[in-house]
Amino acid sequence: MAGHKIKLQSSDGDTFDVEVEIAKQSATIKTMLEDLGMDEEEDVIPLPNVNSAILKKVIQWATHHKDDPPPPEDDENREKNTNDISSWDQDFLKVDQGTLFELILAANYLDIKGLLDVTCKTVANMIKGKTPEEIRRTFNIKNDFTPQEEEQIKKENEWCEEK
Amino acid sequence: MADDQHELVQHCIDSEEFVTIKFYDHYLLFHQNLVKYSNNNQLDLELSPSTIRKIFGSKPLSIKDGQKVNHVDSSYYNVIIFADKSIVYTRKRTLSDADSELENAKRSKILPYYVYEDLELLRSIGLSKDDIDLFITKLNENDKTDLFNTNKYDQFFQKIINYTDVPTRLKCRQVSHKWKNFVDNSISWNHVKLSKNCRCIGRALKYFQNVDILELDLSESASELSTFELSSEFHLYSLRSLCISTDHPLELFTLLFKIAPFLQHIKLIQTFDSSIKLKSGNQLHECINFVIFQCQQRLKCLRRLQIQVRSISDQIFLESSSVASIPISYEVITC
Repeated sequence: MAGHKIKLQSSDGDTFDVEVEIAKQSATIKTMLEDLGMDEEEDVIPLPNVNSAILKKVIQWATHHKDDPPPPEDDENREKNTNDISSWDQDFLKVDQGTLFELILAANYLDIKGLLDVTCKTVANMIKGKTPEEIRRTFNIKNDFTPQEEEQIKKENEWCEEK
Repeated sequence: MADDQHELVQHCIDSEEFVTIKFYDHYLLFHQNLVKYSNNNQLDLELSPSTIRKIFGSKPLSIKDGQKVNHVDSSYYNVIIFADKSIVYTRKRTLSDADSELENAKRSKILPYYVYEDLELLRSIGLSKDDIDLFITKLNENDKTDLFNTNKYDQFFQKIINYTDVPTRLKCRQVSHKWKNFVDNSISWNHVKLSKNCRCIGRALKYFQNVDILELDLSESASELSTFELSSEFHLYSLRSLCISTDHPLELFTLLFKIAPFLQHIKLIQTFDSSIKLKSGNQLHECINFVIFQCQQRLKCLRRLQIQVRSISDQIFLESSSVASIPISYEVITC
């Protein structure tokens, strides 16, 4: 039924009224509604792994994408393209690294493939074009290679030049 | 200040359309059209009260406290106000809140500039201060998530690596042992198309022995004989599908069929280049017949050899002349 709403409860107890059709972009919520018969308006769906700030962002994303066709299944035969992020999604994901990572975890827990794909693509784009040292600095990673190992890997990589 | 903000401030300064106004220790960059002087030469700003509130906060500083000064280093600026009166916060939201925000910053991280814009939006739609503070607290909590320095989130790390292109993936191998292992085990190596950037097919093939490669497309990679070392000291047992071009030297075909004995599908493409390079049709036919012969000799698992040529006459000739025990299909491409 159009406009029918359900309540989603974040890990910190906040409740959000969300249209069923928007919430159903989450396969986790869709399963709860369909399999467990939780379709009464007063039912509250607890989402213990998502805090309210992130849930707000997820609802914002799902609301914008409510009329999107279902995302295509992963085609393992194709090289993944990260240049197809819409400008709305790009703006939406201009958030700090912590929020971006939390969105990935939330998208995974809620099983929202479109959001998981676009957040992972965004992190992949953050890596793209960076030197190994820049990647380490961006993600706070310790270089645990010996100079000899570094040299060896550089040699192994020599077959490909930067685009 | 983020690099892009730094660049934005510098860009505004360089445009010579902005003036710097100093309020106590704070520097603001105003578009020159917004800055006026009253009759007694006092500074005046052509801004609505609501915009002034946005910049200066609920307890506004007096405009009289400001003075026009020379531009300073771009890192000192707090706010840019553009000609259309839009505001970009390059540091903190308002000047009057500066002290309390500094206090907050000690307790929590400094949020990026764009989050301040979001917060401003939430304020303007009437969200209470408590709700906004809660939102900020939650954002800070997210900082505890570290995707890359724990094993807990490896599945996402692997997914992210799978989205990278070949040059990026190779850069990732150089980051740390963990990243190298993730790259080498990534399913993104299942299907590889080598671009013209691939300088050395031999070394690339040598690397591929360490990864799970199923499909390899060499049709666009460099074709000069000198660019690869012929070596068959290794094998690509996982390789099932291969795309090659008639531009490639015959020695490469021999090498590939030797190191990848379990190939099942091969696509041989007559590229546009080869129609120029191989002037005589005979050379093209010889090349194709060589591949057919090598396939018959070496590839016992081959299920299909697909050959793309550029003229129907070549197709007719090849179909009628080659007798092979392997399944071959021909097609003509015109573009």
